[in-house]
Amino acid sequence: MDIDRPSDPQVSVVSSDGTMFHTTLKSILLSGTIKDMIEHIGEGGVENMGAIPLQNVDSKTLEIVIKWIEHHKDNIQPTSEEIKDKTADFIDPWDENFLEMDLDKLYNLITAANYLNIPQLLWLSTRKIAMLIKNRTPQEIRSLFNIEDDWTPQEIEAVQKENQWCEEK
Amino acid sequence: MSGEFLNFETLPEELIIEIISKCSSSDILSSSLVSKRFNNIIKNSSRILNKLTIYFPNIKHPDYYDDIPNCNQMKMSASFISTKAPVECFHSSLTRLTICYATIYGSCLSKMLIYSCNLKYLELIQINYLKESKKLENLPELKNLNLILDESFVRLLKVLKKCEVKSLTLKNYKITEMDELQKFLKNQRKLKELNLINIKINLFYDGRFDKVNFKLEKLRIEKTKIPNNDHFVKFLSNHYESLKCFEILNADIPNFREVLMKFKNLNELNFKLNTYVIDNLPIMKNIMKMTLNRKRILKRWFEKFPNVKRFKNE
Repeated sequence: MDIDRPSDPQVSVVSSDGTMFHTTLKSILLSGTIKDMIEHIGEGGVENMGAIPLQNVDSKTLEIVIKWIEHHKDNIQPTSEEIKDKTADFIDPWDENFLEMDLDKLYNLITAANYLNIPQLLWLSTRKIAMLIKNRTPQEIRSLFNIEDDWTPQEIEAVQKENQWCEEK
Repeated sequence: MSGEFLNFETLPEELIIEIISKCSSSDILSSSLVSKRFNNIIKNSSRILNKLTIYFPNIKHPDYYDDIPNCNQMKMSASFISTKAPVECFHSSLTRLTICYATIYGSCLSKMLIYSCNLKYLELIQINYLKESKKLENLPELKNLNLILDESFVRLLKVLKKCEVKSLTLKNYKITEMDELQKFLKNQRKLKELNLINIKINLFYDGRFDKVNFKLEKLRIEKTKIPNNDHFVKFLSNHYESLKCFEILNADIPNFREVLMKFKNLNELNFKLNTYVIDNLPIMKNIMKMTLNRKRILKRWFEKFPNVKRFKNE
């Protein structure tokens, strides 16, 4: 890295609804999607590059994503393969606190983390939903997530029977 | 995404799988009852189904046995599988059984296998302790079996001696005792595929595998050290006519080039060598011409090309 060049240049991104956000290169590289994009134009191009349009992420969600990547920009990020089947693990209290948001925001965050390819954020946000499912009955899950019950009594009985063999008693 | 109303139900399938695969076995079951879409996604995702654990010692009512669905995959992990486990619930439809991290009674295992008479894949990994292994004499003669074992079961290979194994995978094996393996292989005349993965001991240290009774069609050697001696070549000489596919991943084969030339019917070669230096392209081309389906091999050859450390131009 050149001495007279800032070690972590500014990068701008634009949300789907046209709001511009400024962040740093180091933070934005946590997104696999943007990393691929930047690698494609070459490092020298970064400073001359205009704002990166992100047509699948709205401003509310992008703000949340940027908060997360800026906090984690110096941490080593696992690849999606490494994290795929990771189970219970220590969760950074900052992350735990960060994920305290309503479900709407959480769904948007999950889709954004998936689109931007940020494996650790995708893992954290999907795990958050999995934790909400924990120890709930199907009816509780339906009301929590506002899902319509589309089974007939006969159908549900048949499915319950199928499940019997691996229910923990 | 903007302005669009998102709901857990309307998330794309891949994200629902991402979420539910992080749930425990019982939470997966609850989720499968939430809606038809969830049920469908769960039933069709092997990534989620692999998380399901069957708790045999807990199923107490004999009424249940009839209701075991025609599933063809079962995985039992972290279980204590006692003699009272209702092994009758193993269906003939079961084709794949994985038992890992389990303590199991020999009589129970043998019963399970008797009931699952159409088993094609049997994986026994990290068996903590096999009780009363002497009661395993009555094991059925499973045909065409794909067997996957690690060190924890290799010692007990004798109990599977009547099975006709088509494919054998040995992983993570470091015990120096090889007699069981030798005896087992002696009876396997139909073995077509052998996968050696992360074998720490030197299987070809002495001549015990010089002459074998099976003709391999596929051989895969991964993370396994092959000694530079005659025994490995002698082992390979059993398969010069039959071998069709040879995979060498992160392993070194001594005299690779010479060895390769002997195979008459090889048409698939997949390799990623550690250190082996291929310094003579014309010879390789001759080999390809002589023995290989050229188009296929050339494609694979060049795909693997970056792994060749040194390369002399023609």
